[in-house]
Amino acid sequence: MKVNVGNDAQARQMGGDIVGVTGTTTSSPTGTTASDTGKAWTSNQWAGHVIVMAGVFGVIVSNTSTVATVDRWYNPATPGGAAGSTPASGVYQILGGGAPAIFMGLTADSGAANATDTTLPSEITTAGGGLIRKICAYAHTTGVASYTLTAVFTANGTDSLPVTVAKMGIFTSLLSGQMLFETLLSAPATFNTSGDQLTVTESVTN
Amino acid sequence: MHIFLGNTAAKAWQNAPVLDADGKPQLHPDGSGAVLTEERAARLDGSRVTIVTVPTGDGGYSRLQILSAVAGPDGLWVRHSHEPPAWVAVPESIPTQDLLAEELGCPSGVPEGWDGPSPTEALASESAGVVPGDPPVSELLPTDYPTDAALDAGFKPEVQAASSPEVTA
Repeated sequence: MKVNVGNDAQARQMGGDIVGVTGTTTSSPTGTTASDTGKAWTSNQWAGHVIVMAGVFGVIVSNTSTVATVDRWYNPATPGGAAGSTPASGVYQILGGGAPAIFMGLTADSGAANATDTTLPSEITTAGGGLIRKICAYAHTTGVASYTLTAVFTANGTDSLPVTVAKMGIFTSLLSGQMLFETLLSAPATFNTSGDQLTVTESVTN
Repeated sequence: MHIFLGNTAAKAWQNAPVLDADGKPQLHPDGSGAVLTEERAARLDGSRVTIVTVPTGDGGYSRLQILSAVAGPDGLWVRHSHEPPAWVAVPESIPTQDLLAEELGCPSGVPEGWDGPSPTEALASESAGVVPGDPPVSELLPTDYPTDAALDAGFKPEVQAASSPEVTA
């Protein structure tokens, strides 16, 4: 189901919102921040937007009047992989719309999806594991009012097994960001050993 | 990586209300007052292309994972069509194309006689928001629609005083 945050994000992405802004950072960005002391932004007005700098981008998770905090810097060619390089101080653009929701996470929590949820309860976050949040394959048939996001999870030796997953979430970030969809799996699935694999497809109907 | 699949029986998903024995919509059991719905997939005629974008490289999908994502029982294809694909094309990786064709039981590459859009046309239409096969916008406009040149020359179309219909999504 599309949660309330998902409704807000969809409206922002498809309807417009602020068209964006450009500027020059006034100090060197860190791994999660970009600062421009010449600005007077409203708190969190850019949350959910994308900031682009020097060949990398970040998903803004919050902002103060002068500092945008991102989840991390992404390499556009491999957003599901390792973090991109932290850019040097320079020109930035904050884009209109918002970051695409292309990352899927899993949880063993089997509670019903709730429209007011903003995070996936007890999401699996084992660093180095195969069941952590990952980027999806996207598919769309021309002219049809729906699309799918599919992720293939393969358990590895780092995961805490066995585990039975029951629910998934779709996010705008590989690490944090906004959860737009939260859906119970059609049936719980148990990972018993390393190498066990699960394919999860979320259909989004417009 | 882009994967293209010929689709002659596309599924059009919709959330339809679940009716009770009296034909009235059932309410969701969570007590929220919302109408209980279920997904139904209508069958769309015509030749279309399903475009899959699969992340590869660092953090992306291996060839076997692509196979599961596209052709597996819980993969994406069964959510997009009522029938097996008419063909599969992966211009960036012929080995992947052949593997998918074998798994899906369809021709590898676009066959002669395919009457739908080509992969290139489909990809362009996705970006441009035009459905292949639809007439160009110029053919949808009435023949007496004023041209930009006519407007520049001082033509003033008649303005009708009418209330605008409310548009809802």
